[in-house]
Amino acid sequence: MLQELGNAFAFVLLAALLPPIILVLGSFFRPSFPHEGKLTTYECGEMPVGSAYLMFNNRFYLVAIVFLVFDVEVALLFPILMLFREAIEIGGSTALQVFSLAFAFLGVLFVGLIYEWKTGDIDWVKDAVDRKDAMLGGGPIAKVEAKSGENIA
Amino acid sequence: MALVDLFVAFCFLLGIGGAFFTAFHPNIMYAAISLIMTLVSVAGLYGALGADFLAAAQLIIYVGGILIVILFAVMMSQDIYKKRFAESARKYILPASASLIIFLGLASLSRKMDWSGSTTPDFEPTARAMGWALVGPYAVPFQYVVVVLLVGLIGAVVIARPAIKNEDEGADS
Amino acid sequence: MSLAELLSGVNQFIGVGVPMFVFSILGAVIVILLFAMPVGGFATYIERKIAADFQERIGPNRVGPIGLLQFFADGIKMFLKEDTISKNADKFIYNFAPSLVMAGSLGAFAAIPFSAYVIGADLNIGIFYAMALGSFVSLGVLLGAWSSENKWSLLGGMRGAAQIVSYEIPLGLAVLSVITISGTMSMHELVSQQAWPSAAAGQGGHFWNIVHNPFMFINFFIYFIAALAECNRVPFDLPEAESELVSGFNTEFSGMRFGLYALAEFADVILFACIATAIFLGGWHVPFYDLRSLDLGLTIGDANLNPLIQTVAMIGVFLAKVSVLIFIVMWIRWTLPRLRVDQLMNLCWKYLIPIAFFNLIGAAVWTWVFEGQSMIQLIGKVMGVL
Repeated sequence: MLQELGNAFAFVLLAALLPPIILVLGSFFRPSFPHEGKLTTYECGEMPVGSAYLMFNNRFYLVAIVFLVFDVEVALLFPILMLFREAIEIGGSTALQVFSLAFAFLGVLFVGLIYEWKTGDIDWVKDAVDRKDAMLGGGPIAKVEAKSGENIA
Repeated sequence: MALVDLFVAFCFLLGIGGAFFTAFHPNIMYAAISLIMTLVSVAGLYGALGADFLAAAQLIIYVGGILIVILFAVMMSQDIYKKRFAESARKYILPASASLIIFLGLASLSRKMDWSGSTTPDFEPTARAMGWALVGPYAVPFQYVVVVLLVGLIGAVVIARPAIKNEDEGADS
Repeated sequence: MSLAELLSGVNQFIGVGVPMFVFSILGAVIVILLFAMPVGGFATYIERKIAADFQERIGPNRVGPIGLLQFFADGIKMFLKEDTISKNADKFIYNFAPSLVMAGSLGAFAAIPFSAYVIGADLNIGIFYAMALGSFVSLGVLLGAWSSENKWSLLGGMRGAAQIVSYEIPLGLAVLSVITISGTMSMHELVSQQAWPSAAAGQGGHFWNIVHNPFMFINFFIYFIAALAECNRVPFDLPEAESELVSGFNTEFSGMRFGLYALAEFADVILFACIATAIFLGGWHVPFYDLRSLDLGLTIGDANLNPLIQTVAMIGVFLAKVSVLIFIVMWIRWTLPRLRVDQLMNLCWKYLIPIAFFNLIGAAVWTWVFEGQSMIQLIGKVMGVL
């Protein structure tokens, strides 16, 4: 099995080394005439305005965290569902065990996804005003934030 | 020296180097990039030890998930690129001594082991055994993991909620 | 049997014991440099021709006969272009990002079963390995966009990373349903099991996974949509956004660097088409006949040529199916408009993931009730043929 992993590694290594090799090879053939206009950041022909680093909405980070949880779930489900057919051949109760464990796992996280859907947390555009109803009467955290009078939406 | 040993040595050096730069590099973006090196080298070590499933899971979860989260967090922090993270030498004393104690412990442990005659065994594929373990002896910790994941999921979205605009509060400061 | 093992058979003829890793690298060179990259380059020409056909014009026809050498000319042009890096760009990460994207898309070709005898690396976790390398692509896009020091690149890159990362979940769930009905993660096994059913015990298999049960049929389309989103193809090409963000995350990459990103994107399309063919469309299997029993009786000396002929036939069938899928991808590109970013995210989290989840449960229940038999096998049993 190490031989096969070594084959896979050879593929990844070759693919990762290809860009530097191609670029270095090309550097012997390419011209190089640096000019102020060529070295400035491209902004549709105008001079760049402001810093190149934007302040991002935290929805990207939220998508990444939700993805992470579901990614772990998918990765852990791979070995379990792989032996589902084997478990069916062994007997009914083993198959029931595998099935129920795997889908309990999937179902719990799916319920989490439904909760987020209902409270509007996975919407890309969140509306602060309507969400009061979604939070089941507004928990203590919401009241504290609203009282401070600051809108940080 | 077998090719596997060379590979393990390479992964080891890459991992240590990556960890070093992650901890000490003043530019935070480069520190995050060095974390890629460390995580990929750990995946390589798993592969060299015959844990094929774990190596691929490490790549999917750590490099494809956690590193994206870290990079998003770095990119979204305000003005983080202007900061130079350099600590005073005094702050290194306690962590360095803790690391030294752990290192001495591991070194004395490895001295007691028998390293002679270790050849690379013929590895078996591990995914099926992991599957049986997860539904058999380790089923209960597996379901605990589910609950922890759910807590993480809900906690993240609760923290990220925008403030509720309470209309009858008006200009209250 | 992996390609490296196949190539190491030449050791018998030479008589010199060449170490195994030379054959590993040779296998990688053959698949990547002689298949993935030329086909990726040629596909850009095909795409322009197909686009021209849809738009009722001719397309490239100057360079070479009917324009066949166009991609060659494009490659030389990109190779010789000046490499400008803006003075504020982060040079190390700028150089490092294309390697990540290439490693992610080209490295996964190791797991593709081109024929029963030719596969880059016959891993026990084949399909899982292909998914693991797909996660490098999102990192490469994000880092490349960030290091360009351009607000629009950064916006395109962030959206690109969020999109690629979100659509990995329906992709994983669709693949999980295939694994549930097949009971293995190895690509070679997955394809072998999709043979035409035969009455002889221990032979044949359930036929192609796409017609295994109705849930798998829907899962094929979920896989296809998620793969389109993973490759940043229309209707999900918001990270590139040719008319909005200049060129999205690869605005500041010019010349060969842009060529590397474009090649990696196309190699990604080919990769997902190959994986979809292997796990849903039966790989190198044809209906009504098992290609592994093809026997033309040709020999050279006393060496039987059958494996070679079978391999050629199998690779031909595989590539024909991959070409159909790539044509459909291009067809969709020149037909559909682009999705807005919130529509994109809604599609993933509110539609694809619940549908994929219920399909997974359905596929598992079907496997349990019918003991892994497909619709075709059941019909055969009812008709008394099997």
